[in-house]
Amino acid sequence: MASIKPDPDWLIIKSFLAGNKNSFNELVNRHERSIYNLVYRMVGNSTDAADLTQEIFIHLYRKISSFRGESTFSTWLYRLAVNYSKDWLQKESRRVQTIEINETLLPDNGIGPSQLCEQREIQTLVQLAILELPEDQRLMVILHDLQGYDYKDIAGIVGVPVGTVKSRLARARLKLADKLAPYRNDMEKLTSK
Amino acid sequence: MICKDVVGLLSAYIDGELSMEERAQVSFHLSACPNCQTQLAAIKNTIAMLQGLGELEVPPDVSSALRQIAIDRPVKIKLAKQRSLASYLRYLIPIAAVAAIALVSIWPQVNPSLTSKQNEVKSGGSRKPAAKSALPKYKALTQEEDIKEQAYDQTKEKADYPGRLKAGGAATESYGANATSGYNLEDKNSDAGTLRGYAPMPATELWPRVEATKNNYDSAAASRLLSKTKNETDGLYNIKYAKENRYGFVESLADQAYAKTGQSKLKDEIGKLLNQVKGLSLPVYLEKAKFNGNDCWLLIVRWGTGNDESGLNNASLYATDLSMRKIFYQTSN
Repeated sequence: MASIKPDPDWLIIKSFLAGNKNSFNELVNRHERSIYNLVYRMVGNSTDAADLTQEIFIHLYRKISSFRGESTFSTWLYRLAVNYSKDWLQKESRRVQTIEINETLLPDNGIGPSQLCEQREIQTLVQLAILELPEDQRLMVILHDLQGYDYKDIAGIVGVPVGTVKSRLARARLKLADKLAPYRNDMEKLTSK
Repeated sequence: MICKDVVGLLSAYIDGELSMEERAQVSFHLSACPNCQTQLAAIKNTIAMLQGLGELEVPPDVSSALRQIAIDRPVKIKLAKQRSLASYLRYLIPIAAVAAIALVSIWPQVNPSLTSKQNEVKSGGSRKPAAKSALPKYKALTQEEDIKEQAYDQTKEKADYPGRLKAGGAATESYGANATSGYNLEDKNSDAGTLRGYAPMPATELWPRVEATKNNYDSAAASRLLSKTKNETDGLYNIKYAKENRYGFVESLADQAYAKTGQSKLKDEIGKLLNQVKGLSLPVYLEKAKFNGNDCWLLIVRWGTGNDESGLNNASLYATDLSMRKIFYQTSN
């Protein structure tokens, strides 16, 4: 029998299911950023990321009663987001040709304009390299290296064994290392300044 | 262990996800293999580059749309392509400034009927708000849920427009207060570009309209303004019209606001605000005033639900700061 983990979202969900609609916005507060980031990195543009994020939370609003606490809520929500992202990529047969880097959204690291420009170029190249990965490998990199999930959590979210996570992530990183090799020196110079 | 085996384990080695035995073997190999050391450094560097991407902020309009889910019906709100608009504005701001100055000089001579016609022409062009789809997309709904959704829509339509809709959803009877003042809602032979069932706005009509006043509103006064504006604009517009003419209305409001108050760059902010609050909406009234003593813009939008032929039966008022980025009061009628 699955046990209910001490999940910080659980009380919020119970409150929502008890009729307190405002509780839903607490869930939005807690998870909108991570879900938007996941989706954005998967699809590579803010317009589709915005659409998908809305669809995911609308689905959540309708289906939240089906959450049984058998995993943490964030794992459950991430699984939902991953499925939506994969659906978007597969059903629509869309391949991301271009990406956008919105400067207003980039983190401010307190560096000068020329370095910022270099940094943006590198970020663009990194995002492009991510988008060139096969979807399954892309997902591993996003979940682990960008969002900080460990192998076990990723296995739970994606629904594959931990060994598969390990091998997919290894392949993804090797491909990225190969693709980004020409820019590695620039990156090292930038980070050493 | 040979290089090929080690390279496949380097990723897990970095993450500390190898068994003790594997880790020892990889470490041993690395100590004597420069190529694998280089590969290890390359992967570590790649991870650093990935982490250098950082975390993106959720765009404000997306964030607001998510918070509407629990308030309104859970439907997707149409959002603008912010990046494109930002880029567009970056290059057009100097041109827009010149155009705005020219507009100020000729504004008093502008015939309201001309403004109205300009809006219609623009709506038929290529300058519609950029977005993928105007219709909410529901995913993974069961058939039962879909049926419930349709039933909800139909029930709401009937409640909103009792006796006015036939099965196909087209307007079939007189509509709203203006139906008795010369509006022909059955004009099926109207020209292309005008609304089926809706006559073009009369030349004397002044919507959208901007005022600059010294009024100091409170919530009660704002509600009265909303009711008055709603009464005056009831029956004028439907969803199709809103889709086709919103850009023109926003542009007209921004131009009028510049002429009357000198505040520029409102077009973008009005557009963002509309995307944030209502998808299928038309801004009809903007007033620069005070709200509880604070300088503000009061924006009134008409909005609706249903198909293209459904009217914009609802009205909402938003009191914002002068940048139009912060809503500090809103009410609906």
